Amino acid sequence: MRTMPTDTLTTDTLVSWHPEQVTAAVDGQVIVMGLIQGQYVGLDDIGSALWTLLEQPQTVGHVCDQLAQQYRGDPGVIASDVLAFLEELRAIDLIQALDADSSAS
Amino acid sequence: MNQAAVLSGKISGTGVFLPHHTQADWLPRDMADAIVDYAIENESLFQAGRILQHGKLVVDESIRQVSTLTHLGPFQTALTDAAMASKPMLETLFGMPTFSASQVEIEMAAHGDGAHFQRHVDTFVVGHNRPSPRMLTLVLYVHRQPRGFTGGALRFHALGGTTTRDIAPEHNLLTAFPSIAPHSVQPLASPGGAFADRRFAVNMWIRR
Repeated sequence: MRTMPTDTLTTDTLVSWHPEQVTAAVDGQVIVMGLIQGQYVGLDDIGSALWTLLEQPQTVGHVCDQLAQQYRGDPGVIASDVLAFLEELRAIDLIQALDADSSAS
Repeated sequence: MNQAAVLSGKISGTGVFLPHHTQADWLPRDMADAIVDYAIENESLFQAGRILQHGKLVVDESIRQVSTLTHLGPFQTALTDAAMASKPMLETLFGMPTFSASQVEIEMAAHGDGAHFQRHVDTFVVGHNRPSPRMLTLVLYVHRQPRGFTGGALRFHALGGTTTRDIAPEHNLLTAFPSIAPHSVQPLASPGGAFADRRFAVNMWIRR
């Protein structure tokens, strides 16, 4: 799968962990260090759940559905929050967007 | 290295420590003692410890004052096997996804009078062209009896705070932690200055 570095994320975008990061957890709370920018990120309960979902490539929409099942909230608000959060993670190279069309290559 | 960032949650004013694990009597006692003897017998093979600065390995004793041995001779295989045997447990303890190990990198560090190592992490960033990052750090402390030095604690630093936790370097004590955990070696004193009285640390890095 190829990465899609410039496109804005949508619910149809396939996303996953960036390979250049290291994940650990403290009492179930995830801490990630990005190896490109050398930056640490600490995640709360929901962020940790989201992060776990991204170990394998998922569409943003699927991630939103999974979180909506786990946590009560308006689906539209969840989608908006998740997209914004994923954009932040992508900006610091902790996740990557993948080109699903090239998955067979 | 950037300071800890918080997108969502838990890194607070007092900070958060990445996990670590300690285990006393990690090796059979006679093997731990024999590693000390091996180090002392091979003093001439130790070289000034280097650090990675701006993509180059350099000696800078203002940051890291130590001498190192890059092969543990007859103990290399046993230490590699012991480190790999600990890997599954450490991944679980540290909440790290299982990874395939490409290498166990081993060195012995000998810290003498005045030695120290400033705060750092063991995993290099990609910008320094270091593929196969260090994921897990295991440190086995060994020293001659009675101990000929004071100090030399391993100090963990909290992310996003100023608090610290110290681990005393007891003989045959293993300390393990994710390689991304900020840590330092506190200055030690060994008034006699004898090589045999140094604080020896077998550093084992399991790379992805």
